[in-house]
Amino acid sequence: MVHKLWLFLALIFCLSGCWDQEEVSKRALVLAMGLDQAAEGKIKVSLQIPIVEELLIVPSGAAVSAKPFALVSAEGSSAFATVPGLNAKTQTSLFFGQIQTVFINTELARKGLTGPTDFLRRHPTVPPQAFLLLTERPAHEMLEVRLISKRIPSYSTVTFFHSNNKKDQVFPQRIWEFNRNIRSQTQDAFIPLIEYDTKEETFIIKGLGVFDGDRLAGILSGEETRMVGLLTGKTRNAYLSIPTERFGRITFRKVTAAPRTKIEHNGHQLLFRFHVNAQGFLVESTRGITRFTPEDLEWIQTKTALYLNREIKKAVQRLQALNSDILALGEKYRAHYPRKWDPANWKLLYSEAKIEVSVKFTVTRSGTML
Amino acid sequence: MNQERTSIGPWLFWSLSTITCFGFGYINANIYNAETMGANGYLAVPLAALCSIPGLIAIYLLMKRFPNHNIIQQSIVILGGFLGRLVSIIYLLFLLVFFIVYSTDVAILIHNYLLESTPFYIICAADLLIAAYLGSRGIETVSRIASFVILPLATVVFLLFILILPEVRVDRLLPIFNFQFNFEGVGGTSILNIFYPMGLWAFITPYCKNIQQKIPRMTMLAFSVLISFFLLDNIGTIGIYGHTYISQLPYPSIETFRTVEISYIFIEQAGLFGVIVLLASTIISSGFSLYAISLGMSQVLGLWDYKRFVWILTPLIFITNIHLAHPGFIKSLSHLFAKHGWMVIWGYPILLSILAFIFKKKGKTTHGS
Repeated sequence: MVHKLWLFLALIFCLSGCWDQEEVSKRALVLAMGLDQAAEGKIKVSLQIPIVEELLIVPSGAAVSAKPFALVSAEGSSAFATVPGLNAKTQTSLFFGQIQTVFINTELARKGLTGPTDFLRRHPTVPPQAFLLLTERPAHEMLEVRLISKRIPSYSTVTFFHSNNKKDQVFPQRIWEFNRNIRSQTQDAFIPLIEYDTKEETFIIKGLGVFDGDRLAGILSGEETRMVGLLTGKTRNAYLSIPTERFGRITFRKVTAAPRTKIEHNGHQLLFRFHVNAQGFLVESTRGITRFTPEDLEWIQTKTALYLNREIKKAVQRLQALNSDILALGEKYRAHYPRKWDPANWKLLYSEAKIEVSVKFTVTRSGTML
Repeated sequence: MNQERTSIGPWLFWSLSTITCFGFGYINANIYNAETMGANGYLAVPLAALCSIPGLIAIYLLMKRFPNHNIIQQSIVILGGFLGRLVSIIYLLFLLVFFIVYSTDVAILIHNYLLESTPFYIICAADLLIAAYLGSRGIETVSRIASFVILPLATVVFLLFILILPEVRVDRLLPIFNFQFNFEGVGGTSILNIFYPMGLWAFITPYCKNIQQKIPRMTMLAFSVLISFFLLDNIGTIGIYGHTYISQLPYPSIETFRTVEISYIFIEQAGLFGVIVLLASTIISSGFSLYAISLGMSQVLGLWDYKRFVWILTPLIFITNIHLAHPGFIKSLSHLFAKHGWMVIWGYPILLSILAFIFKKKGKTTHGS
């Protein structure tokens, strides 16, 4: 009996969760974070915190607030050094476990993101699946914008990236992927670009910021990003529009690709051979032509393959010029030539490598018309 | 009373062998594998299993010679009263320190990932109290709990592996067989550490005498489950992070599960499931280790029974846990044990087996000597 009593008393220690217990109402849930370069080398961190009362659905159908969130900012000598300043501005405890997106200003990204994003991988409550976004405008401004959907901006971006239909001119990069890639010797990182259309009150998520190490090396347009997506197999629903002499402008949807990459080492130079097997649904011919014959389809496929061939080559050359290996060709080279692999020499080899692209395009459907 | 009058069946034996290695390897497996074999770290798993077999055969042979004795009693018979006790004390001290390092590592993990504000000593106390309670209830309780949790636990882990597969990039695992064919090149000794807990079987051989014929089969079954689990773990971790980045992560398996994203489901952080699964297996593993060490202590010293030793050792382990609570220090100690632990865990049973064969030592047939 005495033993059982002792054991029962000892169970009190098992209630250790009480130390970490915190009421939800006493937490400031951070949904999005903004990182900006401030004056004197400081970093400005802004937090988007929802106002829970504004988010509740009112049964009477009263209007939802256009800005159901608050924004607090602080500057510090490092990203996490701003937290005391942010703590002073919020009366409830800051909770980073619900971060959905992190907006980073391009000016800060050009100076290097190893330091400013280190806490994102170290802090155990920061979700590694949170999305990163790059913006030309100050990140704190992007966190404060009103959207036509009256939704919290961070949630809108998450919904965007969760949709497979959007994987065309932009691809997501999560915190864990970015942190791995900027420290990797075999590949580089990218971050999708986001802008705000003030007139239509909506986000424009298109293009990629590509990195050389931890520094932003350049920006890829939506078209270039599409080609990168086809080369990496990330594309789920690309749209292609090609001018042709015979059928006017031909447009495809649901374009996907199964790429194969080979690397050959000829003496001192590398050769990248990309074989892209792409396919898509024909959705539009501006001349309204129907009843395509097999020869017509063959002609369209050849034209599209040539177009893709040219555009893919241009996109890869652009990446080479920026010295950014977001295609993870370094990983492939290390895997196929482990004895020749030298991390110090890789970027030089990469920038001087020759490119060969071969594309096969197949029209798999032509919609509800012949 | 040093021994319980009980026996364990083949299913309980299998569950216990599997789950003790599972909890331990979950924390340690891929760190040393990637460190020694680089992108081929996953190949270290079958190699380590292969290299662990001689030690297990030695324990099995000793079991056949001494069906009523465990390794401590065997060593007293083989080496004589004084030397046998002396060597056994060193062996037990090694296991004790090994257990302390392991339990501190688990407590640090809980402190980091789950209970940040909870004082470290409370986590250690809670962890140890559960392990001590389990250990004090004897081998039957420990093995029954192991058999109870193993199936749901394995299901959750394998589901998590399926979810991480889309993130794996095959290039990070290539080229296969890209290592030097020398001792360090094929993994060195540190890869053996993932199967160390199987060595604790040497303490419970008297309870397995009724299933002696089935032990090789059950051990192979445990090996096949563990090999597939650790292979998936290593392939997932290296395939996602790459072998160079793993060295920066204290718990790569947990970080791998944290990458899982289940869109549109409100529980988006599957890593938490990984941590919970780990805790369940480590507590059973700790309970079994504590039981084995306490049983050995009571047999070597001829004092009390293992239950009392469980409660004597618990506060000592607790104090040491608190003083070792630095992640970097614990990882360097783990590394040391991983590199040299095989000498004791596998070397000692092999040595005893050879000596028993040379000196033609055999155990008595009566139970509970």
